This record gives sequence, structure tokens and C-alpha cells, in this order.
Amino acid sequence: MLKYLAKRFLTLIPVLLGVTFITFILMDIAPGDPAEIMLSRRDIEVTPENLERAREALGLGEPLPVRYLSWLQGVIQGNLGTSFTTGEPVSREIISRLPATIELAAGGLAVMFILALPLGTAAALLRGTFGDHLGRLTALVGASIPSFYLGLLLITYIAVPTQWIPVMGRGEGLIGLVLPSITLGFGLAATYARLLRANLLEVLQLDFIRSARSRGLKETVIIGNYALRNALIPVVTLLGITMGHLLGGTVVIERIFAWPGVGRLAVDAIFDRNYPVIQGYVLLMGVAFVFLNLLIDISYRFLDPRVKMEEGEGQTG
Amino acid sequence: MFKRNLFILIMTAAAMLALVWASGCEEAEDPLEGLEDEEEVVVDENDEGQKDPLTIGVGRDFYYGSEDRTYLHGSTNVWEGLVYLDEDLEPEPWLAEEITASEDGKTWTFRLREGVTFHDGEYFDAEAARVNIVRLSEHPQTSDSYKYMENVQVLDTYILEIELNRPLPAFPVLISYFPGAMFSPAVIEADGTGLEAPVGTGPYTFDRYGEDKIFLQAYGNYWKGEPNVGSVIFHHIPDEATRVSALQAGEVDALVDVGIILPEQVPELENIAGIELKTQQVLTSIYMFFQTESAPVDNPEIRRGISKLLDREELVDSLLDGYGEPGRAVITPLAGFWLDDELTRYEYDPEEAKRLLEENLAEGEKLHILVNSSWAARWPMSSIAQYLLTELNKLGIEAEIETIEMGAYSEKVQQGDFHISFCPWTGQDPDDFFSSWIQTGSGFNRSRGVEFSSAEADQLIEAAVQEMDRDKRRELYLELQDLVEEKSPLVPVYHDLSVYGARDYVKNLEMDFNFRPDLFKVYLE
Repeated sequence: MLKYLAKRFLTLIPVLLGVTFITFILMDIAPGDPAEIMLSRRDIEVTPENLERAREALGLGEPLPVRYLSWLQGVIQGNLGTSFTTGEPVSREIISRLPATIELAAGGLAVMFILALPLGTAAALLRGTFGDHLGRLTALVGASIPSFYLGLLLITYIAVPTQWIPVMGRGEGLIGLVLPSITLGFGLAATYARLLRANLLEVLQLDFIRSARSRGLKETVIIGNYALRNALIPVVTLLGITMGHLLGGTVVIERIFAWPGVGRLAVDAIFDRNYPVIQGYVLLMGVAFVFLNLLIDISYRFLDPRVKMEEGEGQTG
Repeated sequence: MFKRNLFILIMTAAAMLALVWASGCEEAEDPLEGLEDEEEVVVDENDEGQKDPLTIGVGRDFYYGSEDRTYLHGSTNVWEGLVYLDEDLEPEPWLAEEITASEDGKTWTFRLREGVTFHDGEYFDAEAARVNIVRLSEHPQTSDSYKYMENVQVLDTYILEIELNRPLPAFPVLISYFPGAMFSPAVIEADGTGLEAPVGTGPYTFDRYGEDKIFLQAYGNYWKGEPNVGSVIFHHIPDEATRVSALQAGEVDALVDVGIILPEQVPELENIAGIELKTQQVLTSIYMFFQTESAPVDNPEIRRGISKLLDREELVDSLLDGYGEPGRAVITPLAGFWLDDELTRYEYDPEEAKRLLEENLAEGEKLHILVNSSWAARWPMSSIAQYLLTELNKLGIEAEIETIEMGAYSEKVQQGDFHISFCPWTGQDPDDFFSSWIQTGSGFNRSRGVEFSSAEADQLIEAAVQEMDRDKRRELYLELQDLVEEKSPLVPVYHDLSVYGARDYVKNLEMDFNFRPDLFKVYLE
């Protein structure tokens, strides 16, 4: 197990080097000069002298490999650089927004589980009935409704008239989390419920279910203990990817609910060509993805004892 | 088995939630949360005198950080400048009580207001002002306003003298508001132009910034007296629909900034009891500009023709629901003294437009209209471009619209890879406009890719900026306005009118042409 974990940690290094370097190159290729954008944003006249000075100050004078290496050197020393726009440390900017993002991701996942588990299971058991069709329709609506629209509907028809739930912002307690989580979780639940239904149906055809039935086990035990556990494995795999995306911030939802998460920080940084913030964000995302997938792999053990965490045997789904 | 697994699943979910909640609680120990509790009270309209803090929703971040010239936007009321402008855009004393110029217009004497203190308790005097002016003249964002400054010296405790190397009648206007912002010398970085903290002289002190909110506290020793409202929060709400919903739900008490409420949102809000909407003409105008070096728009006749195709009245009525003033002058109509009475330069004239375009535009020429998507989110530039395209097509002229985001846009306009584009611009003094857009090689003239050059205009601009006789100066600016119409490197499309609003218990909240609310006057009922 330890050996396995160590090995997985080592894979972090090439992954992070790869994504950050590619981001560096992409940023360089993208049109738009950060120095010029910074000058315009601050109402500074864009003269060649001012541009030169701004480039110097932003450390853009050096060639790309030199810039990358000096950035890397900073990272190793725990310094992600300073934001081009505010002049504040990138790490502080990201960390101050991370709790809001984690909170929203967890809220969205909770809503997703609450909806998808019962709905997916019910749809599989009620296969072909009216309930199943209704579930399919709901899932279709859920998966296709754009989140900004659902968010606005919830704000306009629930939050504003009733005033039970805040319209926006990360207020005190968890109440402010309700609408963004529903908006986020609803679309996810649709996808996951369908996936769970399909997997469950597949598993229910298998021999071991039939033999369980012939042994006269209770249906709840068959579904819950045998079928659902097996059907959840692909769901958990997908969950790793979904969670990664959620931790990247959900820009649209963050915007609609004025949620102070990292997604908006990243998008603003892209528009401003705020290289240090983009780099810091990419680094964070790389770490998050690798870690989450590791967690997912470990979780297989609980779902399927056949999976061993030994060298070379880690099942990656 | 199933039960155990379900248990694990539930426990994991619970642990996750607990983790999240804990991270929220960590924040709750922060004084920030305490304030938010009070914020809840705002919703309770029956509870007299408990509406503190006043939460103002804004559409952009007013926190700029330590490298910026003022750290925070002026609307926050944390800092004040030496000079402000009155409704006619004439200089008005602020922290300077009296401003006098020597006859040659080169020596300016500022008699400063006495009894003003910074939020750290330090006195505001001529020495503090001098330190600030040295900083501002070195700061890249404000150095332009001081480019003719030779010397700044303290004559007496409250008397400051600035010497310029040329006559500059508009000097007080040039340093009004942002470029004259005064901060406690204690927070000015010793080696550099940054600020360690925004310690100004305004009615509100900066408390902290977090989660897109700026927290302010009333400054008890403010020179006009103690502000009525104890604390104010500026909340950055990026989405325009959410902002309006937040006002409806009472989660913000006011929405105050340029373009904060869109014209199309007015009908929805107008009839809601408890919400008051107001309109203010602001200094921002929307322009159409041309790449004056590339054919066919290198020909001024073609540029004028395209300008005359725009029915500006119709545009304002249909695209802005009347919340704009049709573009009549290249400088803001608020600068009344510098305009002539008729303002007929940019009238809609389809016949003349047709004649100009048919006579000068070769067959098969295709016009390239460039739209910046970041601006188009705030001003209806895409619709204006579409309108222009339709009008051009009616005359058999081909055109295409390209919409791109800010970074790519900046690069493209600088390379001159366009014929026509649109942009917002905010200016005060007429010289502001002519010396940034018309003078050869000047800031926006170059950075927006206009590349207009006229020796005649350059001469007039030089003469006007130094002319101490106001009437003569006005004549020169009128002449320049004629010339700019004749050459039309850029033309006004409309002048912005901003709608803003507040709950009815917020009294005296007025936004001015600079989008700045005077928070000192505000009280809650």
C-alpha cells in the first residue's frame, strides 16, 4: 500500500511539469500582451516606453524557457509569484478563494448523491414502467438545462419572492449554499442517475445476482449489498473526474450567485493574461486531479475487495 | 454488508460536509462574519436605526491593491483629492480650499483645508500634500497629469505651490479626483509609488477586503463631521441579473455604479414598491472609430459618410430604451462651456451618407467591423455594429463583423487589422480628449489603432492647452471640434446615462457624473 502511494505521488512530478509547461507555452502563443492589458486596465497611456517598463516589471523581458525555470524555482521555494493585477501573492489569492469553491463542490455533490442514488436505483428497478420514462424525461431536462438558466429561475421564483434563502453571496452558515448547490447538483444528478441505472441493469443480469435470488435472499439485500456495490464502481470513477472539475470552480454558477470561488479568479486571470495566477491555478488543478484520482483508486478497495493496492496492481478503472 | 457500506458512504458524505462546514466556521471566527450577521438586519425594515451596514452592490471590483494609484476606487469614499469637479466640470475645491494661478498660468498656489486628518490621526498639511504630489507625479497611472510640473514646494503649513514649465489653464482639472488623491505619508512606500494601506481623509475608513466585499467604517473625525451610516460594504456582484435580484430581495440596499442597472432591467424594477431608481448622465461616451491608415477608411469622406448613416436618436431609443443621449459632440456634453449651442455636427443624414459613400467607395470594397466582446457585455456594441452592417448592406456595401475578447482585440487594433470599431471613453476637460485621441501619436490615438495625424490639429491642440483666456480657449476648441468632424477619425455614437437605484429607506444617495456617491450625505430611515 505504502509503496503504491509513493509511486503514485511520484507520478505527480511529470504531470505537473507537463501541464505547467504546456500552459506556459499556450499563454505565450495566445494573442494579447499582458503588459498592454495591464496598462489599459489602469488607464495608463500605452506608449512604447510604458510598455517596456511594464514588461520589465512583470518579468516578461526574458525568453520563455528562462521565465519557466525561474517560475519553477519559485514554486519549489513555495513562491507562486504575484498577481499582475493586484500585486498580491498568487498563493494568497487562490487560498482565500479555495474554501468557497470546496464548499460549493461539496454542496453540489451532496445534492447530486441525494438525487441520483434513489432516482437511479428506482429507475433500474422500475425499468420500462411509467416511472422509468418519467425519470428519463427528468434526467433529460436536468442534463440539458443550462446551469445559468436554472440558477436564474431559482433566484427569480424562489429566492426573491420568498426571501427564505439568500439570492447570492457566501453568507453566514450553510443557507447561502442551498441555491448554488441545487443548481450545480441537479445537472450532475441527471447524468449520474442515468449512469447508475444503466450499470445496475447490467449487474442485475449477472449470474451472481441470479444465484443470490435462488438462495432466497431478500431483494433489498440483493440490490443494496450485491448489485449497487458493483454498479457504483464506474460511478465512482466518473466521480473523480467530476470532482476535479468542480474544484476547478464552476464559473457560471460562481458568477450568477456572486460566489467568491477560484473559477472566476481563473477566468478573470485568463482575460487579463495574468500569467502568474493562471500558472498557480493550473498547478492547483494538476495536484487536485492527481490526488482525487488516487482517492478514487483507494475507494475501490471498499467497493470491491478484489482490488489490491499492490505494486502494479492498482486498478484504475 | 450492505448496511456497513451504506454506513461508510454516509459517513464519508457527512465527513465531507463537516469539513466544509468547518472551513466555513473558520471564517466565522473572523470578524467578517459578525458583520454579515448585522447585514441580515438590513432586511428587517421595521427595525428603526438598525440598518447598518449599508450594502452597496457594484458590478466590478473596487479593490485595486497596493500597486495602484489609489488602492481603492474613489467611490468607496475612503480617500479624497485636492480638487473635484462641479456639475459643469469646472474645478471645485475639495481638500484644497482655494486654488489660484499666476498670470502666466505657470505657478499654482493651493491653500489647503485646515483641520483635516488622515484615518491614522496624522494631520493633512502642505507637507503631506507635497509628499503625495511627488508620489503621484512618479506613479505610472498619474504621472501624465504632472508631466509639466517643475517643482512643488511648501510655502506655509497649509500653502503649497506647484510650478509648471508652461502655462496650463486646465491644471486643476487635470489633477482632479484620482490624480490628486491624498494618502497619509506614513503609508506611502519609501522606495516606490505603492501604498501599504489605503489611509485617506474620506468619511469612511478601510476595514478589510474579502470574498468580493470591501468593508468600511465611518470615520468619526471626518472634517465635515461624523457620517450618518456606521458601516458600509461594497459587494462586487458580477452578474447583472443577480444584482437586480439582490436589490429586490433586500440583500443589497443599493446598486450604484456606471451601467449597474441595464436599460432593459428598468421596467422590471420600476414598479416594485420600496425600490427607487434614478438616472445620472455620466462622463462616459461611446465612440465609433476608424483605422485611418487603411483603405477605404483612410478617406475622411468615407468616414463621414459612415458616421452620417447612424441614426443616433433611433439607436438610443431602440437599443437603450432612451437611456442615453444621442452623440452630438466628441467631448462630453456635460462640459457645456466648451460646446457650441447647436451641436449639429453629427446629425443623421442618409442622403448625404449615400452620396459620400457612392462617390468615394470603390465597388467590391469590404468593411471589417471589429467588436470587443468584453465591452459588448456592458454596452450594446454588437447591436450597434449589426445596425451599421444593415445600413451599409442597404447601400450595397459589404461588411463583416468580428467579435473577439479583450486581449486579442487590443493586439488586433494596434496592428491596424480593422476598419471600424467601437469603444467607451471617459473624459473631462476638452484637452483630455484632443490630447489623447487626436494629437499625432498620442495615447489612445495609437493604442486603439486610429493612427490619425493632422499638423493643423496638433497646432490647435498645443495652442489651446496653453491659452489662459477662457473665451479664446473655447474658440480654439470649437475650431478643433469642426476639424475633428471634417476628418472624422472617430465620431460619438452616444453619451451614457446610468441608471442606479436603492431601497427607499436609503436617503440622499446620489451618484454623480464620476459614478461616485457622496456617502457622507447618506442616511438610513
